[in-house]
Amino acid sequence: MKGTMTTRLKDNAVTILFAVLCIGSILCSGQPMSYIINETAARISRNAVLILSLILPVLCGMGLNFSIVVGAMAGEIALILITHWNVGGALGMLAAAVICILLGSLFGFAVGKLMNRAVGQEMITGIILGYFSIGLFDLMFLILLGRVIPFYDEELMLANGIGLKNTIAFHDDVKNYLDNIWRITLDWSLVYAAIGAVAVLLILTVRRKRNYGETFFQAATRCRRAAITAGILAAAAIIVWSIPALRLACQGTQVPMAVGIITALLCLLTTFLTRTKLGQDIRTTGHNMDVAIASGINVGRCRLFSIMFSTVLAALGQVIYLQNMGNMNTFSSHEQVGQYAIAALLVGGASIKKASIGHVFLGAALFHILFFTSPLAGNRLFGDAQIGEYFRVFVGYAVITVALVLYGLKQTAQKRRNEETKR
Amino acid sequence: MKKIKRLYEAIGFSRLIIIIFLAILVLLTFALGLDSAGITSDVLVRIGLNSFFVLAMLPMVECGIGLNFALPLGILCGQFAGVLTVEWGLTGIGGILAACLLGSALSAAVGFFYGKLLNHLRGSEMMVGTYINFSIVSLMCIGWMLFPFFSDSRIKWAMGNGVRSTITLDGFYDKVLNDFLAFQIGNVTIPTGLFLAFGLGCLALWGFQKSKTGIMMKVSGMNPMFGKSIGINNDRMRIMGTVLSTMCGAVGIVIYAQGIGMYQLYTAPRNMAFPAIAAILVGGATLKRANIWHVIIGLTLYQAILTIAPVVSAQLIDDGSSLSEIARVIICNGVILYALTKIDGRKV
Repeated sequence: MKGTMTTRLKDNAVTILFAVLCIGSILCSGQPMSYIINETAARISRNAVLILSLILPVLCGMGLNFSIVVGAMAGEIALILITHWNVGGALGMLAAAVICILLGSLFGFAVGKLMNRAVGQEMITGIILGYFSIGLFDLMFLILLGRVIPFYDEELMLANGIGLKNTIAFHDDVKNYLDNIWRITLDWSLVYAAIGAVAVLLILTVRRKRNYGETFFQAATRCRRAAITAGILAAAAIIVWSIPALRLACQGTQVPMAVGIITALLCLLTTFLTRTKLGQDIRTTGHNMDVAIASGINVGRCRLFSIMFSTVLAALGQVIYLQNMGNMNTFSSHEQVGQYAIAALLVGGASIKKASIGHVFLGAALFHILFFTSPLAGNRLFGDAQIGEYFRVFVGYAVITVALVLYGLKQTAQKRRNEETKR
Repeated sequence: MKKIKRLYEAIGFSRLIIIIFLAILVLLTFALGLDSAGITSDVLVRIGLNSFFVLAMLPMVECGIGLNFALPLGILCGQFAGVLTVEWGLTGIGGILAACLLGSALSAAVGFFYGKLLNHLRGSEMMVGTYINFSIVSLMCIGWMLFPFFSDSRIKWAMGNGVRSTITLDGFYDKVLNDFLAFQIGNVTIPTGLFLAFGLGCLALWGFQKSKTGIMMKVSGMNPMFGKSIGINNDRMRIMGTVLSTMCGAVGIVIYAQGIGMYQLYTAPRNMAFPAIAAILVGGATLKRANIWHVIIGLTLYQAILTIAPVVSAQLIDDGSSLSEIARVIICNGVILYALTKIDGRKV
């Protein structure tokens, strides 16, 4: 028992360290609870889909997909287009989603083809590809647009009719559209989320009961992940409703339910995909490529699909993110997308080879709490917000470095062990 | 036809594109009537300034690790040593030598530990290197804010914490190497001191390659199994290559800083590895094979493009500066990307 406890602590060292850092940072920043909860909820809701997009490539053994930058660009192009066409509201969002899916799969296809030529070095290829595509994006929208590409829009472009403006403000019917469809306070949305999770659990259980003829309790325990999710959400709701101070803080927090529902559906879609035949192939590829090839799986196609799916999700995620911000820095808002999403996923306890939806939300919460409290804490501790700013940049990079090094060390140790057993 | 094909194979795809691009740029400078002597002088200076960064890639590739994406480790050591020499008030060649020596000593230690780490991370050195680079650079940002070693008013901010973001070398060793024995041919200035330093660096590395240890390193890098079977300690060779590479980075930043007249601290070193990597790849190196000629050719082609492109594009269109910046990003990363897709790995 003691042994498993130690290994469990060791495996989740990053997450635990981060939880400690977050608590320390919250205490040092001296902000009220309502502010912390408000910011955290807002940041989770706008970043979750971007982080979610990383899961499939991890399962496929391609590591952390740094090229979601390309997907984010597809999302930005969609937003630029709907602003140009002046469509907003539900129609505009639908149009943006369609463009995201089309462009995202196109870009994802190209990225995936490239990744299939750099097997084993996907991550560094992804980073460099991100930089390269930023160059192409700038070339397209700063130099060629208006000069070579016939496009004119007084509102979006610089005064001389060449290139886009540095910041683009979205129209009022796009800005915060998804956020404002249906907003309720956090205490109620927790209850709804718990009810939703229980409903999903019930559906799964009933299906299982019918298909396998198990008793109700057996079937419920078999759907472990859904049961755990439902349990956590229900517990959170009960805690919030039973502690008055916490409930007061939650009542001040508005949660965009439409974004929440979209996120939940995409989570379900990702989970569903991993259960299909294709998903099983993807996991086999990620587990051991040699075995996958030997058992007749089209490895290249699995990898291509993972990257395409990831790119499309990233595009949708960027749309959700930017409509929440209300405007975008045309040439810089995609630069750090991959970096932050990956750091958040790793903070949640994922590694190069394993990632789940739980990691996404835990990571989003922990990483972003540290992200907005550390400058405040730095200001209070050192009298200089800049140190806190540098600290959070360092933490973002260090998390990824630690994950890479730990994974490398584990692999080397395993290789050595294999060689010894061979002898 | 066969001859043309063989020539194409010898030049390689990315080098061919770069040469064609450079040729167009050179033709354009003449067609637009630009100051070609001035441009040539600039190209020569920039070749000299960036030489050691590209040289740093050589031992790393040679010992079989691949390209050194963590070059800023050495650069940070060099900057730290350089700022210390400014604090001590060393001037002239003496200052440069002191900064180089101290920087190499520091970076040898850092490189040793980095090499030790890399020995446990075979196969993902480039990825880990990139992220070690990013995180150490941002850690040093906090370091520059908090270091207690500096007190000079030219180094510290007048108010608040930390070291200035740029430390000017005016009055210390600004352009000392550039002007050392410099002479003119026509209107072209030859920065003799820089080329002497570059030549010395090349010679030292060439001498090392021809030595017994150098040959052992090469064998170990080309075929580790064979190296092991003839009794070469592969791990030691890899550490040695990393140390040499990091030391080159430290010397490189001192030479670079004296040329541009200042140390750029904080986040400036973060992206310094990528242009150096692109340069040696343009020269014809691969992730497995590189020699001194690749360094010299690559450096010349890459820096020539980087110098000429802004001048030409400023003449051609009105927002030329952003065009040349974008071209720089695309060329640099495109070249690296192309090399990455050429790894002779498995096909899927």
